[in-house]
Amino acid sequence: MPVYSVSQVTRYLRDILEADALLGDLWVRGEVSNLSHSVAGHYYFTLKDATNQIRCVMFRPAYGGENLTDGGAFAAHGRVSLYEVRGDLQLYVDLVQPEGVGERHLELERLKVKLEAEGLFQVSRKRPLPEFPKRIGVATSPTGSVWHDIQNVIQRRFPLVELALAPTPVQGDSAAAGIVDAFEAMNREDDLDVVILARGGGSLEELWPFNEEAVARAIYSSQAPVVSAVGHETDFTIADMVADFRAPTPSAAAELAVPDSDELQERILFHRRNLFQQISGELAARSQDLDQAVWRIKRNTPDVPSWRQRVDDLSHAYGRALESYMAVKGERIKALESRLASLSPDGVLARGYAVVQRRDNSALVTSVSQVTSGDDIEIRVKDGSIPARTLSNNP
Amino acid sequence: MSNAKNKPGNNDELSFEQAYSRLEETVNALEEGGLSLAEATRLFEDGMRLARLCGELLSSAEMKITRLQTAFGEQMRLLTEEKEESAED
Repeated sequence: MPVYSVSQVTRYLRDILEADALLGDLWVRGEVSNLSHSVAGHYYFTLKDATNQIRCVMFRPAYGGENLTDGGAFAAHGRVSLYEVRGDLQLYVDLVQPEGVGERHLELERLKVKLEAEGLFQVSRKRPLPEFPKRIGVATSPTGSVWHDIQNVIQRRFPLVELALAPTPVQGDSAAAGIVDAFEAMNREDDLDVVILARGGGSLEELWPFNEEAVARAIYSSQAPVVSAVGHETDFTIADMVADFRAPTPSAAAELAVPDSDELQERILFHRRNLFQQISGELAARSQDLDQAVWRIKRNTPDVPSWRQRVDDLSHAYGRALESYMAVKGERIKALESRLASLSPDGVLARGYAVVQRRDNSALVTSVSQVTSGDDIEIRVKDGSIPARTLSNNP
Repeated sequence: MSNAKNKPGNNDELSFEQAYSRLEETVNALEEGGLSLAEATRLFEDGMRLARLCGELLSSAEMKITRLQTAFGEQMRLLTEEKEESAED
C-alpha cells in the first residue's frame, strides 16, 4: 500500500468535498456559538444542533453577519470544504439569516446578494428618461385598472405619444415567463423611448413573480429605460431594484414618463414673452440710435424755419426803416418846399413886393441904370401888372 | 430622425421635441444680442412661428395605442374570439 503525505490526504479530502454538488450549495440551520469577529471583518463561529456541530467561517462582505448572536438560531448558506492548514472541516458561509424566516425569503435574499454582486442594481447603470418620449412600451395586464390608469394619465398629460402595450399576466405561475416574453417583444421594437412595468397592489404571494431571477434579467436587458411600479408604495421587489426608476403607483410611473402639457404651454408662453421683450429692446435701442442720428443731422443743416423767421423779422425791420426814412425825407422835402415857396417870385409878390420889368424885353429892372425917363415898364404886383412910364430921374 | 433638424426653415416637418428645442435656441440667440436689426427680426419671427407650432402640436395631439405581440396576448385574443363565436351560436 502506498504511504501518503498529510497534505496529499487533506488535498484529496478537499477535492472530494468540493466536487460534491450538494456540499457546494446548501443551507444549514443551527445555533450559533463561539462567535468571534476578526479585525479584517471576517466572522468565525460554530453552528450546532442537539448532538453535532460544524465550524463556520464567513468572509467579508458577510451578508447578515452583523445579526449573528451567540446562542441565536440561524440559517447559513454556503459550501462545505476542508481548511487544509488545520485539517478542519468548515462551512464557508456567504449569507446568514435569522431562523424562522421562510425558505422562500432566504432564497430571495440570496438572489439579491447574487444579483447585486453582478451589478444589476448599480446606480451608475441606471439610465435617464428622455424628456420628450415618442413611443412608450407598457408591460402589464390588458385587463384591470392599471392599463386604464396609465392611458388616462398619458392622455391628460402628454397625448403626443404612442403607447405600445405588451400584454402579460402579472400574477400566478405564468407571470414570470409572460413578463420575460413582454420584454423580448419590446426589445424587438427597437425604438421605444421608455418602458413601464406595472401591476397594482397585492400580497407577497401575488407580487412574487417580480422577484424572479428571469424577470430581473429581462428588465436589466431592456434597451429602453424601465420604470417599475409594482405593488404598493412600501413593496419593494427585485424588479424595482433592477429598474432604472421606481414609481409608487402605475399612475405615478406614467407621470414620470412624460412631461405635462399644461406646464409646456406655460413655458411656450414664457418664451413668446421673452421674444417680444427682446425684439422690443432691440427696436428701442435702434430708435435711440435713430434719434441720435437725426439730432446730429439737424445740428449740421440750416434751420429753415428759424431762418424764415429771421427773414421775416428783417423784412419788417426794413419796412419800418424805410417808413421812417421816408418820413424823415418827407419832412425835409416839405421844409424845402416851403423854403422854395417863400423864395419864389410869387411868394415875394405875395408879401407885397413888386417886380419891375421893361416892356420891350421883359428884362427885370433891378437897378436905376437900367431905365431912363420915358421908358415903358410893367410893374407886376401879386394880382396883376400895372403898365407905367418912368419919369425923369431926379438927381 | 436627426436629418430633419438640419433643414432650415422647414418647420412643418418638425417633431415637438425638435420644434421646442429650436424655440429655446432661438430665444437664447436673441438674448445673446449682437445682431443686426434684420437678423433680430428674423429670429423673432422664427421664434413666434416655432412657438405657435409647439402650441398647435400640443393641443391637437391624439394619443395612439398599439399592441405588441406576446404569447399571452395571443392566448387572450384567441380566448375572446372563441367566446364571441360561442356566443353567436
